[in-house]
Amino acid sequence: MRAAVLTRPASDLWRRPETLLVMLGLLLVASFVMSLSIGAMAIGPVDILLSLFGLTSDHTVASVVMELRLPRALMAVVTGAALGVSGAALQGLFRNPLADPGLIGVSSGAALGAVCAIVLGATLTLWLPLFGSRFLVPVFAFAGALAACLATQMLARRHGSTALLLLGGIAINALAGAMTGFFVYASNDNQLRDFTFWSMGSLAAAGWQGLYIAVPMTLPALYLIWTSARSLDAMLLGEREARHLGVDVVWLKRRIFICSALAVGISVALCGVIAFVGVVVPHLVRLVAGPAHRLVLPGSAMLGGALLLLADSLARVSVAPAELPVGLVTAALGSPFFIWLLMRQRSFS
Amino acid sequence: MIEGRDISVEIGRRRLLDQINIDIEPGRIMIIAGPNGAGKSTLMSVLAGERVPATGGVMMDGVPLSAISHRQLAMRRAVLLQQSALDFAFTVAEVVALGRLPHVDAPDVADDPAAIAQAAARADIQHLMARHYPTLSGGEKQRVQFARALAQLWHRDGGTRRYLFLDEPTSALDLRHQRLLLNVAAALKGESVGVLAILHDINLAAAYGDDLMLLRDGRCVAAGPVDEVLNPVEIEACFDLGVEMMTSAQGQRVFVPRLMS
Repeated sequence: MRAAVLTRPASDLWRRPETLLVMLGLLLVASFVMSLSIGAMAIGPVDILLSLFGLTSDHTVASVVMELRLPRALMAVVTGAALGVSGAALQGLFRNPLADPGLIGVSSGAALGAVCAIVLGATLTLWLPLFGSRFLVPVFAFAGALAACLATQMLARRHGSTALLLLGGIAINALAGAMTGFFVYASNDNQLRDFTFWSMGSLAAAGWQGLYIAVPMTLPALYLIWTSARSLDAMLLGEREARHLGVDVVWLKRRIFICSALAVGISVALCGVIAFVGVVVPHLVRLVAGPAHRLVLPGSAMLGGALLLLADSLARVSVAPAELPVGLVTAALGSPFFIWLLMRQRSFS
Repeated sequence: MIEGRDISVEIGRRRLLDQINIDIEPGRIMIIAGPNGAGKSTLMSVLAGERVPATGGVMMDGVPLSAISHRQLAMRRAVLLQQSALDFAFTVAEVVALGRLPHVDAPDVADDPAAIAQAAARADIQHLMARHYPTLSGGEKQRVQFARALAQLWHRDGGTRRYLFLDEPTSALDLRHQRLLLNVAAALKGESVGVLAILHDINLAAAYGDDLMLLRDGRCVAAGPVDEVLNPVEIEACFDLGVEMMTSAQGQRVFVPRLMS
């Protein structure tokens, strides 16, 4: 990792970052247009533009773009950005480039909520007729994600130490995993299938309704993380060093933790578990931009969105007319990369 | 002035510090010395506002530390810790620039480049600025962290009272850079900076200190001006090590340990 950037000349320090962000922005736009154009019905870029501005006379094209592909692509961008930014922020907080949003319990908590909703769904909709069955899984998954994060945070609160936060996350992950196991054991074949697909993540259910919830919750959370960029830089020096540099470390941890839990929680609730985006994306950005968070955070947002758009496009076309769960695609591509990172890490220490 | 009064720290039943009184005055270098585990770093963390003592308290220029925000404190007090594990590939220039973090919204933020350049020159790291921090040697890392602390304290008009805490700042440095670092500390005295340094090298303490506190088992064995405190009797009482005092040809007092039987 370092060898590649060792030769980065100091004079380029101020020019290069902007170039990188612009390139990532272009990649994001290109992936977005590609994601809108490919699928069962191929639509050219011109028709996409016309549909987006309501200028096309072809109602089929217009409705495919506006009702199916656009919300799905937007959801991919929001989710990818949430995973990338939260991953980058938590890696900074834990001072560990291999940390993943799952560490704080958010994914396992959401899985527990989801399996609970899937297995008990029929009973629950009788009691809570307010939620249509469509919203049952996301609502429960979100509640599970937040509950698990809260439990992790409370475990670590007494001493406020980062190591304890990590261990707390491991403990809560194990507990939620065990409880999920009980539900899986009690489930029937259909429920098991539903849950298995949920846990591999998919953007297939993405629609405008989901976006109306995801965007207002995710964007402020990501913005708040972005305003902590300099403090996160200081955290990389060490917790005591950050404190002596005037960073209110306790407050910073709480803020990063809550914002990441919200952003990732809502994405897991709506799209299921999408593996490896949170750990791989910030790493890729750091390879080029260095570790400064004022670049890593926006870079991870754009690269996360672009990668998820590409992965989702791949998921849609690779086994058409069926489609792969997108979490499967990111895991299949991400895990070999992760193994490579681990091996590199060893050779440097 | 930073005044520590009646400071005691306990962990469980163990008393790490027992009723310590200490003053750090702008324009003076205060040295803390003592055997391993004497409580030197603990005392520094209390004076830095990082650890709340069981009894006693710390005031900075007449205001209790508890009444000063992290940020306000960081604008006037920098701390160089013993070791800093930074594994992310920041350049040296970026690490030094982090010293300006407390001043981000301050009106003098435009002076950042001046602060960073001066700190780099004083720590003798200008030739390292484009290197990546994890690739440096231990001593080079220590100098970079020193530069970061200097950048943090830099002030356009040198008149503001500021404080620099150094925990074993010379532990990884070669002979020349040990002296260079302490020369910088001595130069800061003229810019109304008060320095608090933990040193193991009695001869460096003798050469650079104005005041000295000898700690042992959390208690103050002796304290006062270096010339009065530093003598073979006090050193043996603190370290259980006999020393001979000599005077060098240049008139410096030098302490040489006797052979241990």
